[in-house]
Amino acid sequence: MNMDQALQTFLDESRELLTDMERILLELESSPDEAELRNALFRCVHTVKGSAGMFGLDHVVSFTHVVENVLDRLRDEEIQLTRDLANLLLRCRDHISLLVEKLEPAEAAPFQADGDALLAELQPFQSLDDEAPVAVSGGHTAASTPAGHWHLSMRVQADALRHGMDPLGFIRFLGTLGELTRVTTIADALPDIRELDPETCYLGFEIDLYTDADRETILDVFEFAGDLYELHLIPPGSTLEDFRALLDALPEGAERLGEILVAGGALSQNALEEYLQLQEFGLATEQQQPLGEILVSQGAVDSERVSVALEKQQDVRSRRKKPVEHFRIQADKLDNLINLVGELVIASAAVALNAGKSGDSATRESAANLGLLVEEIRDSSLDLRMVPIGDTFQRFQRVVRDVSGELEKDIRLVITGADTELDKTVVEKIGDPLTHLVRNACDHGIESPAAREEKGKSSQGTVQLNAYHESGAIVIEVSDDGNGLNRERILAKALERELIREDAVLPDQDVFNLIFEPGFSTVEQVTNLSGRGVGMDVVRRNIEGLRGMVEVVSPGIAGGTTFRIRLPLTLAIIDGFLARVGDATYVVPLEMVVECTELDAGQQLQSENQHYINLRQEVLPLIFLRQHFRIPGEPGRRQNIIVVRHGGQKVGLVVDELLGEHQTVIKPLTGVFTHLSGLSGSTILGSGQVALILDVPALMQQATRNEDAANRGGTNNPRSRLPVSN
Amino acid sequence: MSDAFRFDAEAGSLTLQGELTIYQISEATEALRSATDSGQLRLIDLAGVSELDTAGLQWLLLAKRLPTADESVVMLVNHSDHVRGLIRLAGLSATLDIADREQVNP
Repeated sequence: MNMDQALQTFLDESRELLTDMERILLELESSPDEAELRNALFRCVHTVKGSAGMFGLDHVVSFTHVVENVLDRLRDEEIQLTRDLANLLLRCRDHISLLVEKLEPAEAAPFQADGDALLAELQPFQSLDDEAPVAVSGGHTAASTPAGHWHLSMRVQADALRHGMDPLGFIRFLGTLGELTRVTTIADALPDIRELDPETCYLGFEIDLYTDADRETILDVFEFAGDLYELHLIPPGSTLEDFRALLDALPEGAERLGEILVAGGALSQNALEEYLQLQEFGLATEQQQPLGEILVSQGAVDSERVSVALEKQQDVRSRRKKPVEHFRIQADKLDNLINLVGELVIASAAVALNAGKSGDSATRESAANLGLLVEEIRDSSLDLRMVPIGDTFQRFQRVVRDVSGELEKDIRLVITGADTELDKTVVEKIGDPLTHLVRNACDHGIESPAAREEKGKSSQGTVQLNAYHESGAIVIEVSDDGNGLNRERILAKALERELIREDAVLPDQDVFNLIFEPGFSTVEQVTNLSGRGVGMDVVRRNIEGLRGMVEVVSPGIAGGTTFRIRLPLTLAIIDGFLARVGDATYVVPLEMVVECTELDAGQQLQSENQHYINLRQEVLPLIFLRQHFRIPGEPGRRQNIIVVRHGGQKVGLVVDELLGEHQTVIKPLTGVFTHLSGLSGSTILGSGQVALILDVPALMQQATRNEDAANRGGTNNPRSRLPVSN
Repeated sequence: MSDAFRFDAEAGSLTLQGELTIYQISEATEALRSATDSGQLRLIDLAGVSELDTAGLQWLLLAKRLPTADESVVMLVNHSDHVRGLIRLAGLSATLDIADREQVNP
């Protein structure tokens, strides 16, 4: 509970802030004059530092502090953001992120040397009169105010402890801003032991702090605490009016608090007495003055500060609005829900089946209604897990920047279609293959600036990431405006690696797809980036593992090469099309089904010698599932064809009977079945039977391969083209 | 009840071991209640307290207010260094039986 939760929030927020920091740094590089960006950059690091301090993560604070100093100088335009500095700050960001993830100082210890090295590099950017770089204390970089006595009145909400917002932690961190001259704990509200709820906070604190930090810095300490703290901050040299507002606002009563203030040196005894008289008088005349008015009168004293504070408050408030719109929940809870919905889908299928059998029309109608609702629930719960791909794309800004630096190329990343949504689990798994493709585009796709200028192109290369939806799938494209693929070189390489025969005549598309073959790499010189043994074959395997496919087009969209990845929107549940072959039931993903047609006798006869039919003047290759999966028995008199389309190709699957649509919860094939190709999973039907889900892309590939093998072998016997021959 | 809060009725002392934070505070409060009910509670030994937070601090304040058999107050004794540090930070040295003079607050 509490502390763990708070820590989790800290982790989440820090991750967000550090992601922001990276984005802002990159943006700032292209538009260095944006003061707002510089401010935002500073705030990111500042908030991470403040929150880390709250949790006593001193190793994070000490490192972050130095970075913050540099950012502060950047903000004040004392230094400029050069490319070197941006590089350095990005590396610092990575280090902070590492420290934050480690949490325990002991775990972060091995990285101390790295941190020190970074700090040493930051040294030239530090201001001369700054304190030693590794000082934990300090933290008052925005210090422009002279040192003085601040009075802080802190009232803690009852729930603060349960949320892990320990007031003592805040007080300890306040201590790092200066000197705590006096802390008074107000325990007036503490009830009797019989009534006490030990996890509720009953305490308040009056704090006197001698510091040169400004109001903003002090309030920042509490930024993380949200609404759990009620704060009254009285700056040095405040007037009686300010104290009056405080004394009136707090519940303990003026006399009691007045004593504390006097004891802390914030208020003189005379002033207090004057106030108390005033209060008596005031009560008699104007009754109770509303708090708002008091605040206004306080505001009049120091209108500039109040407006700054207000601005800040609004800023915080606008940021705080987010959690209302976006509700954070644990990913595994969501996964659990999706699993349950999956079971619900299966159960509802069973209900529909039994209702159908019962012959009772009322039952059938109820079951149909139930089915519709379940379908909606399925869709909306899957929708919960949908996230825009933009965040993933955004990560590549950094990748491209780093890679172009290493390669001494000038490359720009253009992102389009960032709003396109797909399942979170897919997003997580697509990162690695995408990284490889993007690096590949930078490394092999884009030419060196000199070579580009020779060709009359702009010296700056462009890599484009694009995403869009297409018939139940998401398409992600990685394009570059570089060289494009060299057909001759690929062919030569493929011959060298004995991937193709010398006399093979291949269309461009097939030649290009050779780069996905294992052990294929066209670049002689192995660079640091790609070509580390992780080839395009791994990319293809990863993507196919997600039930997706990848193809390469050259010349692509932007002139160079385009890699097009097609992925299913979700991995959990699909609409399937059921078909029977012998005793076995198969599921074809519905989004791939184009049409169904009967394999009539004439065609069937013809196809004894050919595995294709003429479908409305189009050649349609056929896969006989009965033969393919070696299902015993003779095919029925009438067979059906399910025409499926994948990646621009159409294939007919020949089955015995069409059973219609079915919501399918995909259960992965595990254990000994993992290596089965042609099947992507299994599902349970309403009747309790197991049906296998066909992996159409894999089936198509197998069929093509067999066909090729058969052609190469020069045989005309169609049966030998299939893995099975009876 | 675990060993973390051991009450010796004869000596009238409640001995704490380990952390006294929001995680233990419910159990600690139960221990305090039953110790009070026995009418014997006079001392709370803090030597073994390794961690203290605001919930723990509140607990100590509460303990100081409890009535004792001899109509005096419960004494907190043997504060561990950690406890001592936090009590000073909260400015509660005098209230919570730290007799030294080197407090944060003059």
